[in-house]
Amino acid sequence: MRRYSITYFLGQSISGLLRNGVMSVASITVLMSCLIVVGSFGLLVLNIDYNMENLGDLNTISAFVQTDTEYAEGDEVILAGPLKAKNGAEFLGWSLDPNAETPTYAPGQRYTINPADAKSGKITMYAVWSIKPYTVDYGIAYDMSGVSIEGDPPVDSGRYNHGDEVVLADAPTPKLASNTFLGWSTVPGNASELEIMQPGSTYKLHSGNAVCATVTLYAVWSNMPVISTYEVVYNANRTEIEGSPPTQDRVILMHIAEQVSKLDNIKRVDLISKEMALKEEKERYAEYPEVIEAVLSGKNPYPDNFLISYYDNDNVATLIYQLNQIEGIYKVRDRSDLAARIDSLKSGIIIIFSWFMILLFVVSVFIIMNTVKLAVFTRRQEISIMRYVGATNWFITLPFVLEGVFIGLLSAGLAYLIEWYIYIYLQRMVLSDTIQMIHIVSFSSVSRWLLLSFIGIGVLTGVTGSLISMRKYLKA
Amino acid sequence: MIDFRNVKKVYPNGTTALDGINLHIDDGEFVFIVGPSGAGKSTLMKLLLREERVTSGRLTVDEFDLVKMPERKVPYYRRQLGVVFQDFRLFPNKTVFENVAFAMRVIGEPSSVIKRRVPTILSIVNLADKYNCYPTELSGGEQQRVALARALANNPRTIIADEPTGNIDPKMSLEIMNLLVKIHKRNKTVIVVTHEKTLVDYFQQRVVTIRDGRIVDDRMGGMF
Repeated sequence: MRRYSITYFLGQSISGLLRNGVMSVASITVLMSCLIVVGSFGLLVLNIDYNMENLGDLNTISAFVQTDTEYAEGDEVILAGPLKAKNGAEFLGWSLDPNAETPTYAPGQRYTINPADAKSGKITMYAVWSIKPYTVDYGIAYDMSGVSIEGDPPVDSGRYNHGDEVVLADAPTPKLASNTFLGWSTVPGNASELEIMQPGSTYKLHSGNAVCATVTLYAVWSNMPVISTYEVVYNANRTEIEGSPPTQDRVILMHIAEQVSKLDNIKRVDLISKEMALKEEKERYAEYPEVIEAVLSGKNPYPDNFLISYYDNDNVATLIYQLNQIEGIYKVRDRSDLAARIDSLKSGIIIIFSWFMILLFVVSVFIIMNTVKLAVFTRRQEISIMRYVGATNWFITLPFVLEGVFIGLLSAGLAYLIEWYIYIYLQRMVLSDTIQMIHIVSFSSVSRWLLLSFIGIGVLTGVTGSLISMRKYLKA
Repeated sequence: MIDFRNVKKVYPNGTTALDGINLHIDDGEFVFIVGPSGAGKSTLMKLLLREERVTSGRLTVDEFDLVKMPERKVPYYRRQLGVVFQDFRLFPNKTVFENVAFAMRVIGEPSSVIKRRVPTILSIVNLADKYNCYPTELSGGEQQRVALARALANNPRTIIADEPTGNIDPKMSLEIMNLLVKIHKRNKTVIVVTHEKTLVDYFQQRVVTIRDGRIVDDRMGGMF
């Protein structure tokens, strides 16, 4: 009746490990270090991949759009698209005359800037409807005549009838102290030519001053700016519409978006408005109010851009070329270079780590081999005695193999604990930083795999080391 | 039963250690193998232990054909022998008990059997009280007795002793030999390779003399 007791072999291997105390500790230390290096490397690559995913769809291009809506004489402007009236009236087109019954310009048509069409730098396009609008009452609008003021221009939301008395708004404060406010005028122009009314005085509303149910009161300054640039403004022409009247920058953006969508290989187009871009940057520098004050106050320096994602990576060059051809797009940034940069960073890390790992492995294999050789050499006599007594090879080898298993398990356990500690420490360090852009994979999601692979590699190395060294002494 | 038929052993370096050995040993015999050093005694031992293979000839031990036996069957053959060496060859890190028990563990004897049998065997060699000692704590004679106990552990048919008294003082040598005789009386084949003339002459058993790789004498009660 044969019974080989596993407890016997376990006992033999443990006592063997203890007998070779120093060398066992050396082997465990070396193996543990290797495991930690391998584990750290794996976790690093994992985090890089994870962050790459979080950067969003990297198959994207940023197209920056010029939406500067200050035009010079002779510039061509694309006019806005049709409006939708709440009263069911059909939109016919645009006209410079609010009372026109037929439109001069179709929606989307180009218009050339003509200073004669402008009042105080603004060229107003009036919607022409199938149902002719009529004036019910009049509103008051204040125009600053192109001078920058502190705060917002005055607003009068009242509705007046012809002959009503309107109290004129207070004087606005110019940003340039050298400029003086002289008064209000119903007509734009230079002070010497105008009838100027004082703030606070009464103005008797005359329908003749009104254009499209609005009487505009122009600010008169001591230094009237020379008007060299013009804006295009849209007026719904006394008809209630769905949504708000278009602004020229929106018109441009929509026009470009339409052209982009017509291109091949387009998956999705998102608009990142200059306001959104500004907001993001302000959030990013929330801790540095001086930066915000110095750089980001004043005119928004950020352009509008379209975030365009595409399907086919191979035809990106064609797409970029086509985008560059679109009027209004002045810069196209391909995010695939970001992806490429991260990829090459990853490759760089892999290369460095691989060299380091190879070196470490060579050194540790050398150490382990010598450790085991020494152990086996001193046991050589024991092994030969065992053979004289009729022990089979597996009977002799098993305790040594179990020693390797124990070394592997201990190394794995220690490596796991140390890795855990290091990882949690780094995680805490990164999260306490204001850089919210870097995300760290949670340890608990990888802990099981980490432990299993450590155990796997550790035991495999330990067993292989034992077997290789034993082989020589098992022959005859 | 041990049977050498025209056994020749030539070592790789060219030396002929044994040159046509014909030797037959029946079950239950007590045989001394003697001869000057270099005669081939140790080679004979190695062949019997299957440490070396014969260059030509036939060598059978009971049912084992040592010439044709494959490497993996060697441990099973060796379990049929009980071997005692000049340098004892005990495990220095195991107790007396564990040294003897090892032979039984090798063949998979359960612990219960081991616990029962080892003390019995130790008492045969008069070492029952030393079961928990380590070999370094014992004298030469005691160590050899432990080796003998180990050799007996699995109740082998044959005991082979290679210069068993080589490292032992004369008084203890006699004791060892007496033990071997005692074992022989239990119906075991005992082969003693030795150069101790006094012992050989004293015990008056079959004596096989080897010289220059050949058997030159083989008789009962032979003189060295």
